Amino acid sequence: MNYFVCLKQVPDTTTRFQLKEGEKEVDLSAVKWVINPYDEFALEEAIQWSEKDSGKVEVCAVGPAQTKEALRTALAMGAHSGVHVHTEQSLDSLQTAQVIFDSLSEKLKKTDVIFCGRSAVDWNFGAFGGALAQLLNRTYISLAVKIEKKENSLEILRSVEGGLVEILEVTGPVVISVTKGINTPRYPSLPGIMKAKNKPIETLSAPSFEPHFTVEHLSFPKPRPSVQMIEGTADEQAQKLVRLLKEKEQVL
Amino acid sequence: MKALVFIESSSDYFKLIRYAQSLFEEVCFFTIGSEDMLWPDISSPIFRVLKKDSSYHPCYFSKIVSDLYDQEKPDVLLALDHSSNRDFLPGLSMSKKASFFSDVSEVRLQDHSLFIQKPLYTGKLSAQLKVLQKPCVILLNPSALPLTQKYEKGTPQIQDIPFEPFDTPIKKITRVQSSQVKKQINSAEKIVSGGRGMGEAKNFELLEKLAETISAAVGASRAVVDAGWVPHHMQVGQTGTLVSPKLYIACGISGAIQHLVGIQGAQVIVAINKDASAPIFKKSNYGLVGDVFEIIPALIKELSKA
Ligand SMILES: Cc1cc2nc3c(=O)[nH]c(=O)nc-3n(C[C@H](O)[C@H](O)[C@H](O)COP(=O)(O)OP(=O)(O)OC[C@H]3O[C@@H](n4cnc5c(N)ncnc54)[C@H](O)[C@@H]3O)c2cc1C
Repeated sequence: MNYFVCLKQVPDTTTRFQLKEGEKEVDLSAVKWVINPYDEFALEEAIQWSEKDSGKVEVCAVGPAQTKEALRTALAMGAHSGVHVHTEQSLDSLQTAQVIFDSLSEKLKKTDVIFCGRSAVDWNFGAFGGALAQLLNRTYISLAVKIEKKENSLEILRSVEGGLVEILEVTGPVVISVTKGINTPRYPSLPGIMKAKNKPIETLSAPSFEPHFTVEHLSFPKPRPSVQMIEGTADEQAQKLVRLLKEKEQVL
Repeated sequence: MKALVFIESSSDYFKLIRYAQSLFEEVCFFTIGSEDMLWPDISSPIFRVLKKDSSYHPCYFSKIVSDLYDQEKPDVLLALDHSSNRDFLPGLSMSKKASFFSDVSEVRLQDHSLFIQKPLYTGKLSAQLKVLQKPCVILLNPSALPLTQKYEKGTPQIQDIPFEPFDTPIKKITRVQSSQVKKQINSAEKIVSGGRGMGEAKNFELLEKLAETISAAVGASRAVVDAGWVPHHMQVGQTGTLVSPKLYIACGISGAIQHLVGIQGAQVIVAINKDASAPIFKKSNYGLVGDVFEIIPALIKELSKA
């Protein structure tokens, strides 16, 4: 089968951010870029499937020039080919889905399963997979933690709130977003990295979009007032704390 | 501005009703499959879709909401941010050419413009956005809804809308409980959380007891999830759930950065730890140095006094 994985390049999750003057933009110049962690799960899943049925995995990413590095990493992990849709504009999930649909719809129609991550850890819109499925008129299944092929269908386990698991049986073409727990993404191996250098990356360019919103202001979370230590025996500590939480903080 | 608001019986929906009414000039509410739900005395239109039950089905929910949307033509479709709304509403936004905003902590109207506040980069930053593209779909973070006074329950006008199931590519949906869970951390107002300092899995019973006395949910650090003491859905932090309760009590948790990013939205943080130099204290409002096995029972005793 053919598999298609959409991924996004995001700042490493341990990044400490700086704002540009005006506090409307993040200074991303010194940021270390990585593949969005949830998209890594998607990629790993597609690679594992392709290893079982000798299928092909194509990866696609929309973004500025440096996005190619993320695709190169994906190829080193085991994807077969990549498409970079170049844009310097920051697009939201719906626009990204539109770009991928417009540039690759022929290819996508021939793909059996399209994978993506549940959301990106930068903006956390989580709308990409659902939007792409809508454009392709496919069924969208989100938050997959296990996918099994049956004779004429897929059985997908979705992990939802409260430790509940939904098991769905789906027929026909799908877009699946995956989440933590589905697999453990591999690290690119040295031979993988060498091989990736010769794998093809096609470059396309995205049209410009009317933005859906503007950023008015960015801020850091308010710092917490410095800690108040509560002393005494365990009983005294408990008494003092309960009084403060009831009377001062009014959270009990 | 007109809003269409999805009310779910499984949530604290009186808060959402109040929030929507305080924001928009014109509001209509709808609910799916919850026939015997209580409503406050409001004059806004309420639509009740007569689905057999309220359980989620992507194709049914899309169809129902799409029809209501076309009928009401709202400027804003407002719903809570959770797994099923995130499953079907992005597709609906796409098909209606509406913009889409999730993980929203605040909505504001000013000079006929809509402003949205939402965290970025797992809460390291907060962004204020001005919405340019209307209509829009907004998913509100349940924990961001302000507390409201108790509503009197009323007998408002409710319009019933029939629903017939149809054939879909989804042949079957079954739901299973992956483990016994009580309150959920993602929407809880109070959370009692335990780390490796709790010693062993069995001692989480002590946290359960504390949680029960203040009707809190129980959370955990990754160390104890990895150790298999509790299931992953209880994990708080970067690779677990980002929580924003009014009260967070961390018991025997050291305060690693990945844990702390998960709780920075909490209003009041209390830390109990026997090591006075544990990093968790630097990020807490109140710190208690001591043994969890002495302090937690003392707290339970104090709180049970009422
Ligand atoms: C990529 C990545 C992602 C991660 N994501 C997460 C995440 O989402 N959530 C998360 O929590 N962690 C996460 N971690 C792990 C994190 O770095 C820490 O290892 C973890 O949070 C530590 O858990 P802990 O505080 O329970 O354990 P420890 O660090 O071992 O702390 C135990 C604490 O208990 C105290 N203690 C011991 N006995 C007692 C007693 N009797 N009474 C009182 N106090 C006592 C000790 O003083 C100590 O401070 C992540 C790590 C990485 C690398």
